[in-house]
Amino acid sequence: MKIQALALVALLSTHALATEVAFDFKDPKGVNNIVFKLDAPLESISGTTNGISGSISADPANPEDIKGKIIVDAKSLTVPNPMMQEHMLGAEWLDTTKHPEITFEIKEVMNSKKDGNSGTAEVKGIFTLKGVSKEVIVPVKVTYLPGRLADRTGGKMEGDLLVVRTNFQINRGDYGIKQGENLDKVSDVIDISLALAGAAPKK
Amino acid sequence: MKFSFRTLTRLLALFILSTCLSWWWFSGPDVGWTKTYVTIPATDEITGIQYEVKQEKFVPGIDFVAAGIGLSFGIFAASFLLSQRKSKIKQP
Repeated sequence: MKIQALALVALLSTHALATEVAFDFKDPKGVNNIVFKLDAPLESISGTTNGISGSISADPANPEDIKGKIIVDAKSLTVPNPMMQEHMLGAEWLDTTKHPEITFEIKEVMNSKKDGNSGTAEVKGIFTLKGVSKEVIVPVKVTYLPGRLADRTGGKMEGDLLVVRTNFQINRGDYGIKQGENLDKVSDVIDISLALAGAAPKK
Repeated sequence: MKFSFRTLTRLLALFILSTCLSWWWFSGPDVGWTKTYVTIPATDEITGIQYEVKQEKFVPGIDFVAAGIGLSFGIFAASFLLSQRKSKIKQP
């Protein structure tokens, strides 16, 4: 009985020490960005988006304990040419009316390495584009900036920041986007770069 | 000095062609598609995130040149359908 009580106390204290913090990735400053590049033989396309939201719960003491989802408003994807943008968002390509969100949901964090307030890891997650979900593994660099939210908000809000960076590739054909078509002008491989800062205000 | 409709139409075609080519050339001859904005790189001081600030700017591309050439050649071709009769427009 005594041992059972001690085990319970130990379990409760471990739980209390785990300080999971929720970071909100909606960025009113418009700094959070995703860049996508397609390099086809006849044409190179580069676009961006700032329409990012979602949240990640992380325990700064335990880099592998990360959960969350990043959501991109598909209609917020932009390329500098208006006609190309109209085609990209249209029914033949991304069909943003039917599929208004592009998401990445974290399932598992592997091979994490911690170096001070930064760390690298491989994140296994579910990437959903045009209604098709596929499991992908992406290399991620995470930087934890405790107490830096105040600097970013001009002292209006106290809290921490979590900066997430990643580069990975997908094949548009895998997500039902004109598989095998227009390959001379629109590359099948899409390079995606994310640089996001999430805020965790102190309550 | 009087010009026929045919000559005026051809002058219009030449004007469109030269304006289009000069605009493209002096905007920095961009062989990509026409852009309605350009991006300026910036860095967030706190997070170190590099991002792009959009600035509205019309940058004519190769499609703009193609449209200009097409339009001017179309007008030039149409000029053959016009009479060579002198117009009443007096030119200095």
